[in-house]
Amino acid sequence: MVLGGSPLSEQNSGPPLAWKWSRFSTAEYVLTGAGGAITLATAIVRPRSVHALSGGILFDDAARNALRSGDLQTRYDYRDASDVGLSLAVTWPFFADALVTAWWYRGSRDVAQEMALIDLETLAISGAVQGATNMLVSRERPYGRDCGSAQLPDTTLDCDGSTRYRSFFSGHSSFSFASAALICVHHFENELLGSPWDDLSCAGGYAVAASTSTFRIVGDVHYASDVISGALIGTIIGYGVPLLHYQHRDLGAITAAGMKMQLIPTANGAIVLGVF
Amino acid sequence: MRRRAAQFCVAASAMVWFVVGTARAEDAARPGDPTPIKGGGEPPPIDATPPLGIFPTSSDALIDPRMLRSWGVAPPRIFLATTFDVGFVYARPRLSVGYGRPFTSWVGVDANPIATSAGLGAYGGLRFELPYVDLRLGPRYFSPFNHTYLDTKPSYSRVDLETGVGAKANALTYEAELDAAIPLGPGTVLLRGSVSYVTGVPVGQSVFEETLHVIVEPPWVWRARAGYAVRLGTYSQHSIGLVADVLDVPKRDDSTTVRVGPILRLVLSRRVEVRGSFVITVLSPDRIGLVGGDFTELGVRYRWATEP
Repeated sequence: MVLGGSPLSEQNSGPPLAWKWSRFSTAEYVLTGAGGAITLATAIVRPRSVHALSGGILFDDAARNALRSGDLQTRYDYRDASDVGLSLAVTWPFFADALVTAWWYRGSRDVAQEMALIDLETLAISGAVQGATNMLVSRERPYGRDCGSAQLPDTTLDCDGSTRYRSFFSGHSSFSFASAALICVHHFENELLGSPWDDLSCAGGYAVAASTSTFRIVGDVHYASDVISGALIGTIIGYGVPLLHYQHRDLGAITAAGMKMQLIPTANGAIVLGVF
Repeated sequence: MRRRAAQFCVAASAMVWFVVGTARAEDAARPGDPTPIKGGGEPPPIDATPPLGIFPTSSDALIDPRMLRSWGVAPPRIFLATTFDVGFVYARPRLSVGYGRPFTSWVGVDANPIATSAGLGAYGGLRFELPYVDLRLGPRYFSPFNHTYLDTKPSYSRVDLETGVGAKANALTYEAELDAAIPLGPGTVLLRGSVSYVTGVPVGQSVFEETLHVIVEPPWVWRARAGYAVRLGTYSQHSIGLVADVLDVPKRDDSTTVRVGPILRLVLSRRVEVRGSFVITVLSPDRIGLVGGDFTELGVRYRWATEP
């Protein structure tokens, strides 16, 4: 449909796509910037030399034994596949949903802009939480116990401390589940493509997120507890941030004779606020 | 994950910059703007008065009603042009100065910094873009963050590539690349041939060429690509196709690498394209994973050029 190359005609387009919710505020720009800065900083700073978690907990070892590929090259292949999944998951809300669907296909650059900003805010917060946790917990990755072996020499980049001790929790998992949540929320709240395409987009997001996360265990880069924690936190942030926007409707404002009149919803109805 | 998180920050910021920056373009319609088309119907009349803004105007939105009035319509002139590719996880700005019709038929020079998750570099060279063919010639320098020179051997594994022992694998590659796009039937035949001469590598060692994504025992490496892309859309502006690459390093025995995969191009306006490349390795003496493919996933290209 989208690949066909035509935007919806006026007869078939239904109600125009318009942003009806609260808009991205200055405070959110600051929050997003801070989230991005923390994500970047925690990526640069090495994990603590004291490791709060070591080895598997709960069902970690059982899951590792069941899922981990026995061959090192195959484990690298799964890691590559998880990178592909992460790349798809993170770019989809920006390029496919905001740029192509909201802007090009539905013709609303305003909705595309708000969606992209919410996406960035969500992923920046997710990255900050994951990066800070990652650095402070400093858990050794599952393959770390093989470092120094003939198969995985200590000189490999994977065995370097800044890579080796970033197991908890999985960034691939948290980012991909946050992205899946963003895809679902945007599609359902804005009815971007209509049924069943919105449902399929949401399901697709979760299929990619689940595969990406599972591949991290098969590739021996994370324990199951890392991946599950990442999925939970990614889901909470992925739904929490956009729903904070979508629960507040922007009822519009009228400017006349130098006065801005705005209708603001309250618990008992609505009030009209005038700004001179 | 450390490097991945940093890459994510840069890529996500670039993506949102692109969407928001373009969304905030000036809204006022310009004199002479034609009436936008709401899908289907006859192509719009060609407007010889181009918009001058860097970002799209309201009438030069993603569905550009003047798609046919591309940069190639105005007469040849001296121009400055940029192409900016952004995706996960790369940002590739390119600056071009030349004479002719930007992005269509021109002669000039290209220069671009290279900033990827793998390292930093720069390319500069001559460019001859003509109908159906596009030739570029120039040197490319690259300094990787992690990869080091490799001891020469018949085959390499991922562990070989990712072992941080030895000097950083800096390399200077001189390259000539010829692209051809020949309309045939409902699509276009895509052809590419390139020859590269890799220098700066210590005698007896090899290097992972970060742009060609292949391990080279210097100096020579050649590449050929053939494919076909079907055109879609109201203006036949989109395309989806399949390409196959063959690469060979003459000094390495049995070094032929074959890659196959789909490519995608959605032209949303004359300025904005969504592009995808998923060309993975199917035959190689080495097993180095995804880094051995030409795999860019989804990305956006934004183009701009001065107008007469």
